[in-house]
Amino acid sequence: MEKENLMIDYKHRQAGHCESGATSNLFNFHGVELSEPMAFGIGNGLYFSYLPFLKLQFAPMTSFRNLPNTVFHRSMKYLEVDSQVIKKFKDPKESMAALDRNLEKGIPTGMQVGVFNLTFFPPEYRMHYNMHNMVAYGKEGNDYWISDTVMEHPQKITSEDLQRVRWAKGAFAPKGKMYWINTIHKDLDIRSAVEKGIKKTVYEMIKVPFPLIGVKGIHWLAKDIKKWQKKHGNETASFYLGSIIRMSEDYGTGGAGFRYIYGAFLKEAGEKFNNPDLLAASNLMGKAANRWREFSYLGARNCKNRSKPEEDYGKLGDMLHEIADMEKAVYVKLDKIKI
Amino acid sequence: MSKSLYICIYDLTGISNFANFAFYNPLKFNLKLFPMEEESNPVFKNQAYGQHRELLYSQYADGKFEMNIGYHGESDRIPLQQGWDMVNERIEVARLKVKAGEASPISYYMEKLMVTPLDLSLHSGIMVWRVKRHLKPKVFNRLSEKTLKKYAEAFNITIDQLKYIE
Repeated sequence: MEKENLMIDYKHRQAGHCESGATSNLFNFHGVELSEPMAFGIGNGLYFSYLPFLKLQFAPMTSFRNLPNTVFHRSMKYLEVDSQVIKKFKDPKESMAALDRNLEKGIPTGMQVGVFNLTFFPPEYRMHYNMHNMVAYGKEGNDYWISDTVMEHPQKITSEDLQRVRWAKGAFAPKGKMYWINTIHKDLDIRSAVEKGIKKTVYEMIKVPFPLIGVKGIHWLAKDIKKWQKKHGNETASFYLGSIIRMSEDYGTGGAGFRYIYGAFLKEAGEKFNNPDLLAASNLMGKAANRWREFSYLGARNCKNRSKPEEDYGKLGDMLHEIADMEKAVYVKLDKIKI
Repeated sequence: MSKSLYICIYDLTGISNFANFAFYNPLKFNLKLFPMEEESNPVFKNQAYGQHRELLYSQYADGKFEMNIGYHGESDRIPLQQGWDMVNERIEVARLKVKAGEASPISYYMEKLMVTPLDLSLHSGIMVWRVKRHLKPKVFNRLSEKTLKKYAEAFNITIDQLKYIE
């Protein structure tokens, strides 16, 4: 039996980051109050990697976030919630039928999509980026109701368009991936989940034995920035610098490459468990985040005058070294904390 | 005293409450440390860009984190426009090359779709070495209808549009 109009009572809230916003909204739908920073921190979305041998939009790849679906997957694992992820489908029609079945059961369903053909998305962000997340929560004739946390209000999309974005091609192709929460028991052990989340983030930022990931990656990037002007010339150097700023500020990070969101998470956890060490760490994180903002503010001036850089690339590199040390102090502090 | 030095002092004093500090700050119109703006910035060359409000975080002096809904500041928008400038420049170069008969229309549409030959082979289902070969006009002119149709589907255009660009 097919119903014409389906509408689940799902509350859309805007968020800084697509995946943690979707995760926190799904939690709220199931009756557990979990803010966006909390979902982000527990699912350890914070990351840094600098991969100069991979080119993204013609510039060396810098990433401030973890791999797609980490936030949802890890927050489910650490909070021990009964959830389900279907990684890929064989057939596009099958994936749409599975979505319809879920909506008929009254389950809002998260999906991984590509943004290049997403009709309601802000046009300035429409690149070949296949790691965007949004939640479908209703159907009206041929249209679906979508809660996309980047947008201020819920959006509508036709069935054909939705199928196209769910089957976007290229790197990290979503292949119709979808995920949802089955049931939640009310007394979640948030304390141990926060501890596990922080431990994992600390591991990823300072303990991974590879020089391009975490704090070591920021140092490596700082060294490279100093060389760019001599190696590539002013135009390319400013373009590369611009790509870092775009990654950290523009593409749905909530500001300063997720550092503000993580600081807010530490603050909220500190207030919840009455832990002064966590509050101190959140203050330090906020300072590091402000420094990131200054870096992008100064860097943007080089992007404005491309042939005549206003700021010295050496100075920008020193600034990044300083930021890396500031962040390291936070992670070392977090490593010793007992929650 | 340079502008950046002002920012350093601003940071050292720890007075991050923007509302208070803007009162004393001689550079208050230049200092866009916090990204939120009431109105959209006229940085973008395309009118349709930058019309959506987003949620942004910031930290204040007492360590409080705030969420604001608004537009990005100018310093965030300049690098994004720079990225689009790069894309548009590449499209224009490719278009002129096709007009001069140095490259096939596939190279123009490839720039327009913002893909490399490797991506295009994933989109169209044609092998990479064949895609690279088809960038030559001589080879392109001999292509079969079947292959042209595959490209046209990947670019989401008709075969006529693929053959003759504006």
